[in-house]
Amino acid sequence: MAYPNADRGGYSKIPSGGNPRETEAWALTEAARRMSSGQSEAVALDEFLAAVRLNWKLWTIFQAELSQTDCDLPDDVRVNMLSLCNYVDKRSVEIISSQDRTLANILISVNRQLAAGLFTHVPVTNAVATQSTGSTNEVI
Amino acid sequence: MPASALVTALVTACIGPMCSYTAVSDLASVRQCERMAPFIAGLSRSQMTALLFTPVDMTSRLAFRCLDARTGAVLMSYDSDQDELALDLRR
Repeated sequence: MAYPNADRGGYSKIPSGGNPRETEAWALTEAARRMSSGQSEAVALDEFLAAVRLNWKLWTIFQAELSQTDCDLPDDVRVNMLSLCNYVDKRSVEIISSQDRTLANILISVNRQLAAGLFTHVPVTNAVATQSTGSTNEVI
Repeated sequence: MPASALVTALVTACIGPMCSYTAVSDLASVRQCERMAPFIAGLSRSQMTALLFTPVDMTSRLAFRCLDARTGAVLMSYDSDQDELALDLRR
């Protein structure tokens, strides 16, 4: 480990890196987990709101990346993702202003569904994969 | 397939009783289509979850086809219900 004393920010398992897709999926899952555990009345409201803000920050990073002109995603997907970012923005503001913990259910579900998509790998055998990689283009 | 050829992904994503159908064009390769399809499905399910309903039944299904954008030929297809991937080996 290069930085044995580095602050891990309270995370128990951090992806080793090298796979942005899995890192994004992990971040979404972790944000969902924090919001979900913060929904318990036993948890301080500030802690729950901090989890919502953390999730909002994560989506803002996605939004910034999607807004770059060199974004590699197809336009259809980019527009869909940006509209989802917009939804998360509005919902986060609503939760923070109302301080209603139950409103986070949808954000938790959104994160989990998206993370599941990112974590999913189609089970392709090596032989099939060889056939299917005729092009050298690899964008995502 | 030449590198310049374009691929269209047709993706079916279901969560519980509800499904969404998405077509994404201008993908650069079958490989990109194969990698994008689960992400597109996750995005579709997120949108359904956010905009339409909160699912009780969390069973999900992913099916997709990667089509040659010029000819419409199916280059790859997958259905998680059958859990098998089919590829047009003539290419």
